[in-house]
Amino acid sequence: MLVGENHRVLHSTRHSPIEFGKDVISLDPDGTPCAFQLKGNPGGRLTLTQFREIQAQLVQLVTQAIAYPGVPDMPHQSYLVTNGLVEEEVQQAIRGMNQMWERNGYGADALLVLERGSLLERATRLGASLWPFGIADLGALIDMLSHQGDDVLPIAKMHTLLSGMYRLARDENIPSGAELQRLVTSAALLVAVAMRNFEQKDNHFAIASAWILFSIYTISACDRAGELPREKIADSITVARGAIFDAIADLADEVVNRQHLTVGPGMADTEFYHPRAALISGLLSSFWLWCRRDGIVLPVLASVEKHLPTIFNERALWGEGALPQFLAHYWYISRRDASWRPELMLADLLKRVMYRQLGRQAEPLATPYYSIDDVVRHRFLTELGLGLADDPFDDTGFRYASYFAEGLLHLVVRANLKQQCKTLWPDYTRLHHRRFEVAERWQYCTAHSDQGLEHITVVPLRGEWYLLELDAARIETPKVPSPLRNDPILLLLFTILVPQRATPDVIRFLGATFSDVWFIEPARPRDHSA
Amino acid sequence: MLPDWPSPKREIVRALMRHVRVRVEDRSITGIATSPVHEGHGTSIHRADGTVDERPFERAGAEIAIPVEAIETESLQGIFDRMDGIIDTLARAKSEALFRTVGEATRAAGTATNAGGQPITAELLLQAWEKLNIDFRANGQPQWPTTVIHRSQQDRFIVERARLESEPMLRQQLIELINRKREEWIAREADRVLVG
Repeated sequence: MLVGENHRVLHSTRHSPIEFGKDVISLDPDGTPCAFQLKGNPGGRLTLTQFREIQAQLVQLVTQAIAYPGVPDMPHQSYLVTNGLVEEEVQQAIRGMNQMWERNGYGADALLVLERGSLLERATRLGASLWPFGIADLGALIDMLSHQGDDVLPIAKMHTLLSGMYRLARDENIPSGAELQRLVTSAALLVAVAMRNFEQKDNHFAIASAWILFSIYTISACDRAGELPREKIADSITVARGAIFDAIADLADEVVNRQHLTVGPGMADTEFYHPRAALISGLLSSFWLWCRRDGIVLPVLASVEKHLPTIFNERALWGEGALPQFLAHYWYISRRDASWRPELMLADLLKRVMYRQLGRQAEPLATPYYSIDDVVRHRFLTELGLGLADDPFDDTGFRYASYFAEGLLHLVVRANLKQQCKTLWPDYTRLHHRRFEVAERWQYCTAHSDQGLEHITVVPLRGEWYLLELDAARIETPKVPSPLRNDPILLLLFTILVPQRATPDVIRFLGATFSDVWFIEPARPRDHSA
Repeated sequence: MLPDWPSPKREIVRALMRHVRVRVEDRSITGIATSPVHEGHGTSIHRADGTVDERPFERAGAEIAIPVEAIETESLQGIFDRMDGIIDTLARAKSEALFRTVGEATRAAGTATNAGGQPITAELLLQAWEKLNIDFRANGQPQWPTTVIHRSQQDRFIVERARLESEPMLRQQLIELINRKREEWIAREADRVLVG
């Protein structure tokens, strides 16, 4: 809404270094800094008791200067935002505080209150520029709203919703310029509405997933229009990043304060427990890498470090779709453990993947196009009372092929584990190495593309170490739009959601970004010192 | 709109499509592992010798027209029976596409053997196997390639395959071929090395 009102949003997160002390920081159209404190009271009222709980924060909001890069050194306007109503006693208390602040030189109405009525009025005023009247597929929105909100985000439905919004499936009438800006604002609102039930359930992973996809599809729409995300669009992505960060931070808070990771009826959780644990490890590792990269220090990080295992969970390897989670976890472990142990773990992971795909150990892993629920349905078809028609795998075979062996091998090569690579090589040559390459760059940022080629590579039996080093040293990602490449955290999170996009070139790039392991010639490119 | 029951009808359409698919597979070549491609418009195979074979997907389709009168008079079983009309067409299209692709690939790789319109013989089988890479199990037994033949050739194939065991000269040739192929396989496996 702020973006729609031509504010420039500089910061939007509840989990940030304490010195910011504001949920949202923006510059209004006149350049005046604005600080917002958010208080959720959906369908209710902000009572005096609740107000007393946040009073100290409000004093800080008004009286402390905004210490944020890019904010001009001038008095700011403070806002308390609630999606409920404000009780009369609270309004009286705020009037009293404002009078005191005015006497102390903070100006009149130092703290303004935006309550539900005010928010609705602003939404009405923005009208067509806010609400997506052009939604092609309202059914997708209804579909999303029909979810209970306690499951993982239905990515196919989000794909339909966002592709429809940005008209990605059409070859004509490609939105650009001001129209694209309007669509981005609308799409953000649409995602927020679609996530209503997930928000109510505090489904942190689903919320993060939705904003990851919003950001990625927005980048896609910009790339398709031949534009870089600027102004309102860039601001929308910044706000979405804040929401992603908050959701994962909330997940971290919940995880570190729980006794165990089981959810729902325990008797039905056996097949999901370890995949959930690996997913959480992948997400919290990404969160840790994010904080490290942006220099964010949060109290919860110490607990995250205590929670995150320092070894891989073998029982969590349910399919190749889990491997981006393992990779995020590996990059975290590698950062925390300076020995060779993490790299040897990675080599062992590659060995296990190849053993599975060659049929030497258990069933081959499903390709990254299948989810954990597909795998469980397939494995327990009879027990679940399902017929052959319900088998997600049908008569598909996964043997002798891997989408991840190439990327994993190249990371092991970078660690210069030549002996391990020589041992792994014979099995590596027995596999078909698969990857999907989109036809156009913007298509990379979608969960499904009708245009592109499935590459199947058979490597020569005899390999040369120096050629392998050259391949492992490549970090170009020609099919990834530059705004996404410049935001490797978002890219990493996207690969966790849509694992088929973790192609070998993306794995090599992310490895160069998040890891300092590079013990081969040629040297690491200068702009990629991890 | 008129009253309708879309949910069970979606299930019925799904069942009809599955029925067609299963029957098409029954009439097509069996025993070939399938690996679906979930997105894109084609495949690109990069071989170890550096050659690349890029192909768009081929669409196999067939049409069926069900008159309104049939819907008024027939049961669902009747509609299932009517699907038989497109099953043969689809199975033929699928097999033709497969043979075309395999034919082009084998000709390019030099592994094709042309029988010149003559019936299959034991000698022809030896000639064809000679051109192939044959893998071996840990116990030293060859993993013979799957042979796909037309039904009309099935009996003859069994007879000719038996000749390889029963006729001493052919048997000797087969043993020599197996030994040669085993050596090739051992050399191939030994060549799976990373050097440098």
